[in-house]
Amino acid sequence: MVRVKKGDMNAFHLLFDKHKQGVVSFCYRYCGHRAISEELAQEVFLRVFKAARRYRPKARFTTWLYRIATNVCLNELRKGEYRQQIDSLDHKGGDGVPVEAQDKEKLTPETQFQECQRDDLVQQALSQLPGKQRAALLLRIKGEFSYREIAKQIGCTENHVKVLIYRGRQQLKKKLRPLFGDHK
Amino acid sequence: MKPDCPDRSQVSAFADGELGRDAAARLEAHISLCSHCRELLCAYRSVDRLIGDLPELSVSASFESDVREGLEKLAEGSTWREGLKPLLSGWRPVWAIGAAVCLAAVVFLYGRFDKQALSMEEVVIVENLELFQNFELIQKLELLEAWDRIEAESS
Repeated sequence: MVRVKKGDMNAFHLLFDKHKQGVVSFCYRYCGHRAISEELAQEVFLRVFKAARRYRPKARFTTWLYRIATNVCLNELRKGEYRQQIDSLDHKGGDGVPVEAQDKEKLTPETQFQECQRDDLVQQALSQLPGKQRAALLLRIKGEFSYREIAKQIGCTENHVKVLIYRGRQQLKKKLRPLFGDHK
Repeated sequence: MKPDCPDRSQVSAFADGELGRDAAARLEAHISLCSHCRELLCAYRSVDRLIGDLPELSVSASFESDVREGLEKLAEGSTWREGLKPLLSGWRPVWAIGAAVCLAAVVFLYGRFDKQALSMEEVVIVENLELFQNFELIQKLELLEAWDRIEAESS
């Protein structure tokens, strides 16, 4: 990022290649719609590029990157243009194939179908969480960020992050309990 | 939930490894004895696994090209601004603003002087107006001169 700050485009492309999938996935898990998630991820990378000169390496680069991603996603939610359309993982086709689908090809069609259904239910339950709870949970579970880093990303206290994650887990526990048994 | 059970948010933070050493040890000891809290911790971990196992998405080719296109536009914009930078550095903008103000003042004053110059039609109108005023004055003088006669006749 220090090289990007000096105007090195190649360095930016390296960062982009390294983080593009993570950011797109984060946005997708946040909004539940593939096309919108790519628009949001694009916005994230353009903002990173624009803000590169102001970047100060106080924290990990990913903390800063996902802070921007969280802001972009929360803004999208505030705009009211957000549509709760859930892309079914088994109806993507084309480019929208999950990366892990390649591994799933080894599974029987029945197991694949069940896994897709389960993922859809989890995605729907996630999409019903309030914006900050959803962001905090995703940053914790998918991003493996600490409470302190999440507090910086969301712009609140560590204690608030603790409450957000707890409430999110409580809600998901109620909605996803039927899936606990068959998930190993 | 038993009265001596810790707050559920503590169990959630414990699942994330976010409790301090002492608090974590106390909660661990409690969980080993309390089936309810153990069950709660298992449920939270199941939720985490379900979210964690959601597949990552591949990025479409159009996404990459869209981002690169956007970056090129941004880079062009920034080089355009870079080109303007030397022009806008130091006292140059002050001189430029001063020159612009002077030019605007000249144009404004020229317009005003131009408006003060009369056209031929306007000169004729002014002359006629002066003649009319003189005519009125002459009429009044005649009236004054004949005032004694008019007064005598009326009385």
